[in-house]
Amino acid sequence: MSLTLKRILVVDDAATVRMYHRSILEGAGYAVEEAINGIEALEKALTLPFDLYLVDVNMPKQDGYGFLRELRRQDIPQAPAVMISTEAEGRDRARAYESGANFYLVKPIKPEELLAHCRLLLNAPGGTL
Amino acid sequence: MNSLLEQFILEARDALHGIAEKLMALEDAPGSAELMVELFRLVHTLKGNSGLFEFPEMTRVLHAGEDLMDSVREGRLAYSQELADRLLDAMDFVGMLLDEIETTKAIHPNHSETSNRLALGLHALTPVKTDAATLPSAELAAPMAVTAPALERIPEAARIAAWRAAASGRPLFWIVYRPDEESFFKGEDPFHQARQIPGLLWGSAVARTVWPTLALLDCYRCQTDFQLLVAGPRAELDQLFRYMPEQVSIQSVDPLALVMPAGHPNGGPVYDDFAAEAQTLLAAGDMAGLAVAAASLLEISSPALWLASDLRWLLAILETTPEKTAVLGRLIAALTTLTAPDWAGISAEPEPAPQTPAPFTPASPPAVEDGLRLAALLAAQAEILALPDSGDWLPGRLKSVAVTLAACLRQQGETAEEVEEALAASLEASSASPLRNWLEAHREGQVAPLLPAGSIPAPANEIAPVRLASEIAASADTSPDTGAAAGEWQKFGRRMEDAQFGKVLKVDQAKVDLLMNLIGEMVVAKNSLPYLANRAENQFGVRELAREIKAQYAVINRIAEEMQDAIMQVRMTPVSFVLQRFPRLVRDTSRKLGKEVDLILVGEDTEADKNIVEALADPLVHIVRNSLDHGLEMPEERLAAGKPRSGKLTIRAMQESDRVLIEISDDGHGIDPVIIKRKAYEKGVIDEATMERISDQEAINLVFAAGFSTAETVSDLSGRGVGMDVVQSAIDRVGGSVTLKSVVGQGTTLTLSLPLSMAVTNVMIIESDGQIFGVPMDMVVETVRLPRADIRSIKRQKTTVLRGRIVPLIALNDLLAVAAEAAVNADDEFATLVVRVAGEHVGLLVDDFREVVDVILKPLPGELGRLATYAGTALLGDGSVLMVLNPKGLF
Amino acid sequence: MAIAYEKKKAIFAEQVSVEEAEGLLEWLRANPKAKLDLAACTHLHTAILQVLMAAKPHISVWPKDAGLALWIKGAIESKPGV
Repeated sequence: MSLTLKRILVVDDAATVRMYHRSILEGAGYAVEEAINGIEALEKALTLPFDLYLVDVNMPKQDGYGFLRELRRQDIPQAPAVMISTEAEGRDRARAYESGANFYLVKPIKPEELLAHCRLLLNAPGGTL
Repeated sequence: MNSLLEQFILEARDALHGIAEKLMALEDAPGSAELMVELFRLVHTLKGNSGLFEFPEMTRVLHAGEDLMDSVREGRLAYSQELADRLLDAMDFVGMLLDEIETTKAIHPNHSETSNRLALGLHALTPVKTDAATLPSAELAAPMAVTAPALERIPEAARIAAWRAAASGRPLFWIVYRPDEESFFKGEDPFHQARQIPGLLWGSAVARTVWPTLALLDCYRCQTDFQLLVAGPRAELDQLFRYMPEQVSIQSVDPLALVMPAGHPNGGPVYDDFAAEAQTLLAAGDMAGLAVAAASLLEISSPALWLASDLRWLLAILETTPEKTAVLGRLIAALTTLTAPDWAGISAEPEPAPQTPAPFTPASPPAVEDGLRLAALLAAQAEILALPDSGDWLPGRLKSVAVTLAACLRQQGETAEEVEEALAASLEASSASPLRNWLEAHREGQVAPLLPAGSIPAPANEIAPVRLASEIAASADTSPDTGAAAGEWQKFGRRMEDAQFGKVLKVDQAKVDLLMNLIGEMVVAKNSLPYLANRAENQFGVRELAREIKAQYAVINRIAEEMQDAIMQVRMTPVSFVLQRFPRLVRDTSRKLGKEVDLILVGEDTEADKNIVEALADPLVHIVRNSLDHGLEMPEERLAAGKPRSGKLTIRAMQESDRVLIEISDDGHGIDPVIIKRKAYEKGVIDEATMERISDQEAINLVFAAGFSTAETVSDLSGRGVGMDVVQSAIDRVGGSVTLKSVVGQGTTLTLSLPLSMAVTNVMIIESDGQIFGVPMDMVVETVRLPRADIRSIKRQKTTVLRGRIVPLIALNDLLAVAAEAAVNADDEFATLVVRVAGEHVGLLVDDFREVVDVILKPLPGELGRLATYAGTALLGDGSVLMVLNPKGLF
Repeated sequence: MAIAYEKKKAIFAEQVSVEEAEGLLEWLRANPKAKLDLAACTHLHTAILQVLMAAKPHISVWPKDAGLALWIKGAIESKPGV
């Protein structure tokens, strides 16, 4: 178990969603940062890579797919990314996976569902390879 | 209201505004892909946000809107007027729901019908998708769906008992209770707790991990989970576990899932005969006959047989819910196949009442579900690894998969060395194969036991366990969040307060109003200092002190003014606040009228006091409607007049020193002074002589006269007999003025001039008949002392000539119905206050002038507020109340 | 004492509390072939239940309380994680 908090980046253009995720994740003891689009997210990831990325599909400027591809191109420690999609976008999961997502969850995500996946994906010591 | 909800409402309003704006913009550029993508995104985000709450009526409509915009965005549907109309309608509905949520925090269920209707309306326009995307969503969500409690472990008797309970209307729940390891130290006895659950039908204690040798066993750490099947109201269960919600997961159970005949799979022709006969009895509705036949067959069957078990179920269901013929039919059919009936397509009424999870229902941390989640995660990685090896981001993708796999392995208590080796090989070869091969090999060993229990069940106790290896490892390891989960919801509130969301501070208007009132009192209090200085000098003769007080007054005055200014700034609101409604209004109205109008908004970010901006709203709507209704012509009429087909309506806002000007101009047919004069005469607003005498501009101004309406016909828009006089008085009320210019055939321009702020008014104090009154300084043209000799009477009207112009004189006492004569000074001069009223100069004869002061003008309360004579009251520095006159209301 | 230890047999009283767990564990380690008489028992603490689950001792007399008997039987026979 690492002593520092696991860091999660929530990438979503909707402030309500970011707030929702933040409140749930911080309540469970994760360090949460937010980005409102892929460009901001990549900047943050390059500054200090995260242990998990929660990425909205549809965002202005750069969508979730674009961001993930960019992220995966970087020579930084890679971490799991979960695409947060709507039901309809869930149909496009091949695209999410192709872009570099490791899983997808369909909105609205229940707190226990979100926490369970974060726990499963973050429990590994070190967290990143 | 919780801040998440507040945030939601705030963002939702923005989104609605944005949607309306984009739709308007699409009217002009119906082909703009950019706009459509943007529009889709707004609807999409709004829907996503609403899904976080329990607002099904809202989400339903937004969902339909999203689907519709998705089709438009993807080019499967062309943008159309009708589409825009329906979408706008739907958004209006959403806006209304938002208002309701804001006030009542909930949506009244009777909106459900409207919601359905609007959603259907949107759906009707949405083309059906024809590609692979028609897959039902449930199937797609499957990897995440979490079910499969180990029901087959439950002995048949307990399952039948559960069925009976469900049949009597008690919902069934599968509970996994995972006590805290330390619970014994807290004086808890989880076993006792489990046994005390009301409605407990069956329970089992299960070790979390394989027990160590006794020498290593720590008997004071709880390593035991409890799995329980319970019948009873959910609320009761929640209540029971309310102090440890993080230690339980409660799932509702479909009673049909319990109907699993089990036993030795021997059969015989006698059963085939029975099955045929039983189906006949069932078809005939002879339940009693069926029960007798089943009971007699059961009697001669060995109870250990699968068939006997099936019969027992048949009898139990005949007894409890004989109306479930489909269930009975399948149980009978199963007698010939000896395989468990497939319940697909049958619902097990009575279904437990649907739980309505509030957005922040305390989370029950997963226990059983984790195994399935891990399996889904592994399956997803397999899917990723099966993708073609393309893209320059492939190495990153492979690494992320390896990290994910490693996390899953550690959850299962395994090391990740092999994954790392496979990753290295994959990276070397730039191919997913090594990782994929490893995962396939690994999953064969791991995932197979996760398949549903075999169709030929062994005797209950020896059933191959549904192995959730992962779950064991997951829980043995205290992850950072499980520990924190208990305090999670308490922390939530605090964290929200701590959190910073941008640099804009949202403040309740009441707080700003309070500040405003306080600074108002401060201004008044400060005004008492000059009185004090005067008293010091005149009454007590301490000139030195008087001078010092005056010096201090100057300092305080400056600070107070700056403070007032600063507070004023807080209240400043851009006029876009009222202008934003016009695109929609103009669009709807012009369409209704069959006219084509381009609306141009300029200077929307011009700011004025919130009250002023708000006061603008109604008059502006009226003016704009007037323009649309009477000003702008029909397209044909315009073409005939050599004008472009579409009319132009411009609303321009600008600041000019301490006033904000709003100019509404159209390029319509203008106002014909001749028609106005004639109408005014016909309506008795003016007499014949006036009609002959007045100028064109004066004639145009007649539209402001009370009871004057230029409408040729009474349309349902602006012609409700309410004319421009209403506009005029509304603008007057906030200290503004209206000017109207019009050129026949070219158009009309109305200019509203409003104070930037109406908080502080500069008034001159005058005296009349021993009383003091205030007159707003912006009305005052000049003050003069008129010698009696300069006053002439024309037709009994006192007048004088000032700067070459004849000014009518009126005694304030006369206007206020005070019997006294205006007083004169020692030189026999009248104090005359020249004020500007409706563009004319009028001299008010008063007794004396006093000083000019800044006051906070407060409107007269209640009925008194309707007295046009007074603009309001103000508190003076010496504590007295000043009545402030409204000169326009005097005449 | 809620558990009476005889030479090769331990007899449980009506209620067996958490304090007995360590003693029972030690006794079972020392006497792996011993028998347990649970006839009188109506409830035992989770800690005791755990010792029974881990040690799987020979239970010569099951509780007269049928509910408890079922629980204990199920617990001892259950497999980890299921």
